[in-house]
Amino acid sequence: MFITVLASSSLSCSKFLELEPEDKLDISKNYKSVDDANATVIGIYGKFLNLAKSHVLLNELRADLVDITPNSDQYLAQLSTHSATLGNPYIDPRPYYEVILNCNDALANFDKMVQDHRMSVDDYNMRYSDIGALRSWIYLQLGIQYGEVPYITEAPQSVNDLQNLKSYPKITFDELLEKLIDFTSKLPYMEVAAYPASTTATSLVISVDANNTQRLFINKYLLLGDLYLWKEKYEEAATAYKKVLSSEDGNSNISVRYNYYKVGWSEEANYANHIVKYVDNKNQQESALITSVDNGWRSIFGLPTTAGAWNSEWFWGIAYNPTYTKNPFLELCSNQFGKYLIKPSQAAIDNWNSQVQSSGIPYDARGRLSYSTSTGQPVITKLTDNSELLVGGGKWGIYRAASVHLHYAEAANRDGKGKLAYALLNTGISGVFYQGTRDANGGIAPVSTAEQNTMITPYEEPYKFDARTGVPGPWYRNIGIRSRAKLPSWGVEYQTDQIGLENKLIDEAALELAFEGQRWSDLLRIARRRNDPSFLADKIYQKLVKAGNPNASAVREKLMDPKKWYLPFEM
Amino acid sequence: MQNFIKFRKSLPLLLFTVALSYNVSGQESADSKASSDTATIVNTVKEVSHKGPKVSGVVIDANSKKPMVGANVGVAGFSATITDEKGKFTVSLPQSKATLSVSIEGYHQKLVPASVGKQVSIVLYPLEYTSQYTTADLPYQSVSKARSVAAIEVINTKGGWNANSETPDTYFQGQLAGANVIRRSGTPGMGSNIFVRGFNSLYAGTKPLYVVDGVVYDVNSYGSSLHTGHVNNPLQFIDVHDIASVTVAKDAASTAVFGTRAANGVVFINTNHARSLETKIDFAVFSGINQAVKNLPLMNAYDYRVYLADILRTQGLSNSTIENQPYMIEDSNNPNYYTYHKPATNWQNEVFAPSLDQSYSLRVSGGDNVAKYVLSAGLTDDRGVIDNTKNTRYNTRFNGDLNLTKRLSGNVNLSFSYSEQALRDQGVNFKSSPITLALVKSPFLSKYAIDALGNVSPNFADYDTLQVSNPVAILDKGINQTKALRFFGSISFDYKLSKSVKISNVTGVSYDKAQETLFIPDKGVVNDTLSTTLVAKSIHGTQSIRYYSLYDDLNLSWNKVYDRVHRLSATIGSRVHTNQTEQDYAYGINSATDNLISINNSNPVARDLGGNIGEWNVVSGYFSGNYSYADKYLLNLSASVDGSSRFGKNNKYAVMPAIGAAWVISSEDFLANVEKLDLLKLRISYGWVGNDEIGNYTSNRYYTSQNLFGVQGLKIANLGNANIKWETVRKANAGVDLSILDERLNLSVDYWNHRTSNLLTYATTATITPVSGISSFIENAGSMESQGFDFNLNGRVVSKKSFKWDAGLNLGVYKNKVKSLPNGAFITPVASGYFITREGSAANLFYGYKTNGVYASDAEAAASGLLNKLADGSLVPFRGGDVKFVNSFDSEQDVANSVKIIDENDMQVIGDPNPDISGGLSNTFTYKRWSLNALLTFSSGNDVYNYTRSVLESGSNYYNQSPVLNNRWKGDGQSVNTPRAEYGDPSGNARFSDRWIEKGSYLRLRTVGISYDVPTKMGSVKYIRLYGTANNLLTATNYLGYDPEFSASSSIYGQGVDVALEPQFRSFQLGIRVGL
Repeated sequence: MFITVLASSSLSCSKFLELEPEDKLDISKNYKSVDDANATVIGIYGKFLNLAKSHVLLNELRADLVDITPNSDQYLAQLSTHSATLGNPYIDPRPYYEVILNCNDALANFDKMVQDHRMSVDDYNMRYSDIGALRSWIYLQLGIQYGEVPYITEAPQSVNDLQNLKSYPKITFDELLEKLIDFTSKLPYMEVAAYPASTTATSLVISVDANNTQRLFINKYLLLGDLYLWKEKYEEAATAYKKVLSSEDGNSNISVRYNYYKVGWSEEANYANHIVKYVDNKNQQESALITSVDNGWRSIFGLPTTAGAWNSEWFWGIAYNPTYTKNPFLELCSNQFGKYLIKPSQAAIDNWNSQVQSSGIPYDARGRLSYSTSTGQPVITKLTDNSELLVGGGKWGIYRAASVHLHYAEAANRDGKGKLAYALLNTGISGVFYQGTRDANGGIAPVSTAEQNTMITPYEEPYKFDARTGVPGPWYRNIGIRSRAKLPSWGVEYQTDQIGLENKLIDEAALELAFEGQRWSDLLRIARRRNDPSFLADKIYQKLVKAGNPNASAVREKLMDPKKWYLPFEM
Repeated sequence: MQNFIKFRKSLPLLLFTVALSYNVSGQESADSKASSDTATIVNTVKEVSHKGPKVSGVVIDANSKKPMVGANVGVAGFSATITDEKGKFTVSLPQSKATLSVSIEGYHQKLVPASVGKQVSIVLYPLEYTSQYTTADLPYQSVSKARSVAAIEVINTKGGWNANSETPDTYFQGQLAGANVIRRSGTPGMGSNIFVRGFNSLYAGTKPLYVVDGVVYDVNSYGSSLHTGHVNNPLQFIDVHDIASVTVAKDAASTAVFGTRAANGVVFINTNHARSLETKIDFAVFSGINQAVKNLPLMNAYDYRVYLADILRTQGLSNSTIENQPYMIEDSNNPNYYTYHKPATNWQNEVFAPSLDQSYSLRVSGGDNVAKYVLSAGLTDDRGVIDNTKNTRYNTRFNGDLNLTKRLSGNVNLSFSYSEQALRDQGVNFKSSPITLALVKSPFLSKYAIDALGNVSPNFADYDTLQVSNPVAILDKGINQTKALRFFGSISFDYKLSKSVKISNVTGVSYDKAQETLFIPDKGVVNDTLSTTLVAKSIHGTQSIRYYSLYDDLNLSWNKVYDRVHRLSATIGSRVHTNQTEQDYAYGINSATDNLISINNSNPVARDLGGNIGEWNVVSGYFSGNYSYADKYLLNLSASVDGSSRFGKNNKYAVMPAIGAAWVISSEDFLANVEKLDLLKLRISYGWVGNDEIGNYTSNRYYTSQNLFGVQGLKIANLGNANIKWETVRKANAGVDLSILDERLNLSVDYWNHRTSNLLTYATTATITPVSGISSFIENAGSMESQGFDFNLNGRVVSKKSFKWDAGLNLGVYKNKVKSLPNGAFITPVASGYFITREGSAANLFYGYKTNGVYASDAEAAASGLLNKLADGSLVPFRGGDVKFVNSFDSEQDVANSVKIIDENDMQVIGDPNPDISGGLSNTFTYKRWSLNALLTFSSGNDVYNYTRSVLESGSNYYNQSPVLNNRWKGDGQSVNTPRAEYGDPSGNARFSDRWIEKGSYLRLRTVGISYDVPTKMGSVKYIRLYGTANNLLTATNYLGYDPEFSASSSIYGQGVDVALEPQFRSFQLGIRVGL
């Protein structure tokens, strides 16, 4: 009998001894249908949102526009002075790899799902491409911060597989870029939007808590553009960016066609309203500056993601709902609702204050709209606009039109299209390319088709823009980053000064994109491209000098060694 | 799975059908009832006679010293007789030497080596006496302790009438050698944490396995209680008065049949069954009083005000600002004057109050030849010393025995218990724990609201301007209620296939449910800020925790003697155990008024719901075999094969074998002539057991919810460890049992050694590569070792006819040592303190700073050259009034920079919560109809982290402080032992250091009971007994807290941390018991 019982124990009860948790989803029950795939996509973006804080800290505090405060701990201070060592919680790559782990697992399972016909090929293509691109973006960030990292695309199935991961080789940033380009450019679904707006029940484009999900997914062409830009493949980069910039050029809704992504002059409140504005156009009166979070340049950051105007500027951003996830920037930036751990650097403040507006006002108004002075302390507001309100929660803005314009201009400039780059930076396409009759105020007043046609850039794609005013062309409202900020144009000599213009583009990014998590990446890319550590080191040095940091020189010296640009990374 | 369960469930039924049909044709052999033997106790003995050499002797009662009439004397399986009116007997032996078994109802069955031609004089002791011949009733056999090869311990409860307000687990305290029993707190029904021979695990369970009437009785509480510091204790549902016997199995030989569940030992509890057919009624009433505890010393209102002003000054407030604080203004026209200037309140007196207990119990037993029964019912109303707390418990039990046929017998044990507890938050909870609040609340405040004219309102005061709740308001309006029930029932059958072969099956069901209600009122309690920036005024909670289990054990046993000297007995069987748990809770906030307490009145926007579901199954096959030669050489082999749903795919089955051997030296010829040697036995055992408390789904790979604002998605929750398995504990035991001078002196000593391998540890970020994206997982990666001695000395000190004094001393010592950890060491934070677990030392040592007084002056501090590393990483020099922390380690970097820094490198072991010795000393005095018993318990060499005192001497906030702070450092040059008071403690003077470590040794007169048997001549009244009991009468200790005994958690990382739980209190009870 004992034998019978034992035999029955070992044979019949195999399932009796394998229980699945009831309040969790056992692996055997997941990935049954496209709904499960959707849940995975949502979950991955939910995890991805946790990277916002470290993305901004690593890209800003290590660069020159953000500084520590007396409240900051030693670890933040280490970031600022490039002395972070292993053990510093802010430089732990694990959270990035945690999202990657989820991506790898999802991609492997999507493959199985489509093979077993549990998901249609169309559904598979979109989801696979979305998650694949997101993983590439995260790897790009890892490359930017750590230089050499292992490129892992398989998902461990059990804790026993973890040891194998250690044997993955670290590859160079260049090798990483090659792999990322190879993978990303071959993704099966390459449309500007990750998922088309659709009414099908299984669509991922839905409205939740008054948030439209359309733009929380990564934009693959922007990722691809960035990858090429880092890889110094400028035409390919420009092609990718252009695909996005012109994606609404044919929209039948002319408000969309003329405003979306155009960095234009329009004040159409529902579609674009992002110029630096003064009440009643009193451009000379400092006090007339509109600082509202839903009007003018600041509304780029203050508007809800559902606003049409928000969508005209932003390609990629994720909103916070404080019921679920609190905006982490509130804690970092606010001295009223948070811990005030970071602040605008003196260098950044000086940078804005050293600009002169076309009207003669002696500072760049974007500074006033990016930070404010609260109880005597400069406080970054750009990341927390609208987040104090319980209803809002603010958002993590990742990619917007101004950044694409600047990146595109950078690629175009390097690809010999200095004039186009100059135009997008300064006064816009028509403002720069137009040749012909002008009115009494110097305004464009073409009298012939030939004069009109000078407002079509004289290049082939990806450099062709139609900014004709008469027809009008889709780009006729484009006025350039600086004009939108009410700043004067740089001299035309920059149109042919490739390095000079590149410097101006990066300087402009400091004014336009400060605190948004772009700065370190910009500085590093140029320093790498030029093989000129001083480009990066000097900027950090200036920040530290202005902050009165006695180690400024030592930090500069350290950053003159390109190996010291990267954070320590231990497998 | 279903097929298997069906098969396994129908198996017992099938077998009994077969057995019954066999029974119809089967015939019993004539002498089957004579199969009494030395190991298996049989009560009824018929006189039988085999031919053989004869021996004769006399049987004497140890109490009355008179010859015993009618005692059974015989050789197991061979011969039997009954003593005559002079206590004499003559019986035949199978050989020239053999073991005589002597028994009579109400006495220990004695085993006596006899040889032909030699007169034997046998002294029998009544069951109340702690004897080496006591019988251990184990599920698969009953064994005399004198013939046990294993290390077992038997507690004789004597009905448990000498104890009141006890649960079984607290009742064991001081009665088990080698079991460190620590009562969790003074709260009625809370029970104790029991560490049988120390501990063998870091993270898996530390509790022994409980087997009640042959069925595993789950004693875990699933899901943490809503009430801070509370543990739902399932053992409270077993009434001590219902317990017939308790056997604690400590080594591998005695527990290996329970395989991977036996690592922490096994406690076998058998409940009462009817002994006779006569109808008996027993009724008892007890009532008693609980004394409020002795208050901890605190500052008076004057001293506190001075202290408060000091603290405010360190916040940068000017003297004039301080003078204008509402509680400082000395102008009686100020509208707040009377709020702060009424006579001082002693908050401890407001919170602690004496209380009354009462309990009633009724037991009826009786029956006929076919069926016997015991029916018991009890009502216990125990109260704590925190005002308005109580535990009302109802117990019912029905135990029945059935003799269905000559071969088939069965019994049923059904119990149902229900308890309603009115509790309070306790422990680390500065918002709603009345004890904690009573300590830290400002003495100059009143419990009632007071208006500008000094009129006292009947309403309780709200929380105060210093942000401390009013403990009295919580006692009045707050609710911490737990209603819990357990049904525990089993039904078993024994079927004799032949005189030596038996099939048994027992099936048991447990159903347990605890329903908790929490309400923390708005009025009187500080608000809480939730993560969603909502302010929580009142807090509502409800929770239900459910446990269900189905257990079945089917076995075949066999017992036979060959050639008169070879005895062989064996049991082979299998167990199936399914378990399900579910916890569901809901929290809410802010009902309209404090009179709307239920959760449905809370704000629907801010409700928090949650819970979890757990399920696990265990299947085991087991074997236990005993062989003895000539009743001198004993051998036991046992093993189990356990499969569990908790184990990983790669390690589905655990094989746990054990071997034990014993040598009864006193039965050898060469000792036959040693006078007064009753028993000398050597035991040795070695084997493997395991711990399966590794989490239900550790091996599974699963996904959990991840939200993206309002949408729920999925993320990987874990990777699953397919290798996860039980912790393995290899147990070695060597012991000696001795009884001399006609059992006047008994001694058992055991040396034991436990080696745990596959110790459950957490792989952490330190060992897992960051590129995995995984931060932790559980693995079997450590090992540790414990060893120690159990010592048990019992005897009859005075043995006069009318006066007797029995005394017993039991104690255990152990040392624990971690052998290997994946990372060498890790630190576990508990209540602002730390435990370190490090290779080479005990697993749970207090880890903090050593101190050496207080710097008298800035100059002295500067002279030390030490820098203080603050929480933000900055380095500042020490100042006068700072604690002198000992700089024990300078890092290479510091040496290079020639700086000396007090930082985490200087933390070291500052205490050990494990006692060097713990145990009990029991004394029973009987004089005619009077009986007095006194139990002393002690614990020595254990350190305590007095967290409560660290709060009361932190000198860093507005909390009321100990008078020690009156002598704080106040100015340069002052040489004192208490550092300066400074808001927020920027220098970290109150950090976890040896300042808060105290000796936790104590010696306690734990229970004193006196009883008197009233002479009664009424025919219908069999007895009337009067009882008086005192609990926790005297405690000798140097400990500065309320009481040195507490155990905040069953984890080894909760031991010795005083977080201000309800202390042990003194109580007195009187009772009467009547037998009809």
